[in-house]
Amino acid sequence: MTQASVTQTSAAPPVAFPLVSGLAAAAQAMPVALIAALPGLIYVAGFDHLAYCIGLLAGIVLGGVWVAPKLAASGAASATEALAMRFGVTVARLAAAVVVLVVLSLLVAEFALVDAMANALEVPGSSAIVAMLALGVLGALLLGDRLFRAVAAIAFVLLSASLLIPLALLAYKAHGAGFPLTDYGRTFSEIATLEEKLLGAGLVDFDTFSGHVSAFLKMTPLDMVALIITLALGVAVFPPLLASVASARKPAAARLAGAWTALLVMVVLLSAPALAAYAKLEIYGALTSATPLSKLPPWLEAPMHAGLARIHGTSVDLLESAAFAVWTGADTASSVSGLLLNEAARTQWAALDPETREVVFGAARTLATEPGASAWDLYQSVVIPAAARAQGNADLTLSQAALAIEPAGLLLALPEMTGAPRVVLPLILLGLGSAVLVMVMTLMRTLLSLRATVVARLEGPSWRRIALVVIASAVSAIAAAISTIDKELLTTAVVGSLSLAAAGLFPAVAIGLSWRRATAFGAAAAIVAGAGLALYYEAGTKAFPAAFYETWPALSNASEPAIEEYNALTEVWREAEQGDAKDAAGTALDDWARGTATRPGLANWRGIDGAVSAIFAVPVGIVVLIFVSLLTPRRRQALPS
Amino acid sequence: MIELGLGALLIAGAIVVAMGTASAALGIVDLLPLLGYGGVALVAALGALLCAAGLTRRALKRGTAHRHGLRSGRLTATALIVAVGLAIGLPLAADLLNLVRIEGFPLGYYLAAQGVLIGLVVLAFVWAGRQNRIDAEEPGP
Repeated sequence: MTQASVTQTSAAPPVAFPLVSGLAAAAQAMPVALIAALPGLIYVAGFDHLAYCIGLLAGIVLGGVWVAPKLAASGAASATEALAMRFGVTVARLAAAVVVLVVLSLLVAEFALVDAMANALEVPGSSAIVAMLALGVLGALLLGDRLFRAVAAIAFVLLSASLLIPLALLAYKAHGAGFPLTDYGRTFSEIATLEEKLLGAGLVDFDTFSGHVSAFLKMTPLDMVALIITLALGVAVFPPLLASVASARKPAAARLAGAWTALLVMVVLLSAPALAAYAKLEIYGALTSATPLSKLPPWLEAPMHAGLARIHGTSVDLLESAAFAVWTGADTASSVSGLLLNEAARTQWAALDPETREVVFGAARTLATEPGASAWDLYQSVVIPAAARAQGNADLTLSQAALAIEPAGLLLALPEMTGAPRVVLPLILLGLGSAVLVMVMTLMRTLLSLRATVVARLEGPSWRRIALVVIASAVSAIAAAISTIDKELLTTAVVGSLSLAAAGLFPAVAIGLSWRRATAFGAAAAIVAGAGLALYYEAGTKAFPAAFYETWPALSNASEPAIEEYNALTEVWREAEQGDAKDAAGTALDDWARGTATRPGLANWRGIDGAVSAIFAVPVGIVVLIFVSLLTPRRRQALPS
Repeated sequence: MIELGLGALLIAGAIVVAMGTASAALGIVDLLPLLGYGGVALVAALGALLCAAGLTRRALKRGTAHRHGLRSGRLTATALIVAVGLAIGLPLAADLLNLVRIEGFPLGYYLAAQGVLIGLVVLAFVWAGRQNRIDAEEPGP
């Protein structure tokens, strides 16, 4: 591909009709796992999570109009190729390492979404993942550029339809005919009335509740700015976006393609807050009208099958997983936990009290042994009452505190909320699934395109064998990760990988390629410093938080009481006997330092979340790029390979 | 020239304010508590930007070999500042803007949910169009 694109600049192919290439670029512009979560994210936190939409679109504008045309100008087809042409193959290999990490973690997120969608349709998740993987590999290997572009364009149209059709139906249901993207202004006063009603009746849990339009209830302004910047810089160097926009070849055409891409993606991003508002109307309506737990709204069924919604800490997914455990040999409630296969079900099971576990086990045995039993009916009639009583909900009605919907789960609930026939859900998921498939193919094509730069100067096996190796490693990595990924962490995982992309690639690609004084040493150092810092911060705050806090106590934003508690826990840990007691104390210490979704931890720099470290890693990378470039000789074009 | 003068004035002002109590001794009101060091840095940055804009304009007027670089540099800087203002500035002011309601939308929420996105897309087209015009008008970099 390197030689081809260098020689082709003189005879560039005609620019395709901008709408098709724009649609194709839009389908490849950002991870679908994040788009699917957008309405749910905005449902949960209202205004604060609009940061996701803003950050993503800002990133597409920067990437499409500013960064990608630079690649087109140098005749490169991808960011790594541009780095190879300017700084030599060593820098390109460092960048390729970052790209591989980013792509693999994004693939895992996409497959977790496939799993959830399959479960919502009561299809086994593993077979859906295998099918998606097979289609993705075949598509990535067999489709030519032109055909792939057409497929991606169609997938983006289907994705838009799968968001806009439920929106139109919900808007019609709420307010009659109109233009939903502007009409949803009317929902705000209705939501505010429902919020007051919930607050007045004492039905809310303040850890998870927040007013829809008020700013900075869930996030501090700093968190919000960090999220916007991380997403913007991460998407601005998102390899598939750059490659698809730069495929216009000429910088002028690439810039226009970038602007078109932004316009098309905007339509999808505008629909997310509208969907969130109508969904909130529907859900809060159910909460304020004392819905009995024995007669749950039908829209809860799909997200509950997917394990992306919980009532009193239980879900249909838990019941089904327990039934599978019974089927594989669990004969008492206590032996179930060892046989639960998915992480979400394990966590839910661990949080239940013994009596509820017995009830779930009983229902699971019924489900496993009686062929005609329906999981949804059993769940409503047996599991929910027991779980509700165990948590002190005596009148058995649905409350805000009891109902937890994960971001991706809300999307699965939308089709049923419209009141449309059941066939709508599979159709919507088909649209979403096609977009996921194109994203999977895109990520694999990104891996494949790396071979051109990474092995350019090596005499090696033919590209097909390299492709197989690349894909085999991707598959094994996914297989390893999929068994343990927690779907609740899907969004964090996607944001974290975009943060890594920003930290590793933005300084070298966006600044390095346009600054003439930048040297190969500077670019290499910027990639290593940025990506290294992002990885260190992410791992430090999540995997070894206590040690991280001990290293940087002065930079933490921890409150006095939190520090006192930490010191007390340290004392316990120091005095604990070697062995199990010491391990337990160490775990308690780490948990306290790490914090949870509702309680800030101690292991951080100025309160910055581990997933948005790009806000400081990118500036550090840029400073390193400038310093090292100025310290190294100007005319040295490439590092020795 | 007007940018250069204004920019120099702003930088000088920022330095005086940053001196804090010392400026009080000069008979000027102490503005540091009002602005904070972040505000002072912002004012100084604004001054530096104005100076840069003035220098660029003067260089372009007098004729230079770097017309393409200067013009696209100025465009990129402007576009990035507009993007930051839209994507970060507006959402930070949301609570204040929410006091106004238009068609049922609280203004701050509306701007973050739709206004910023539309603004960014308009920026993308204007940015692309202007850069393409610069590329067409000036000989290559």
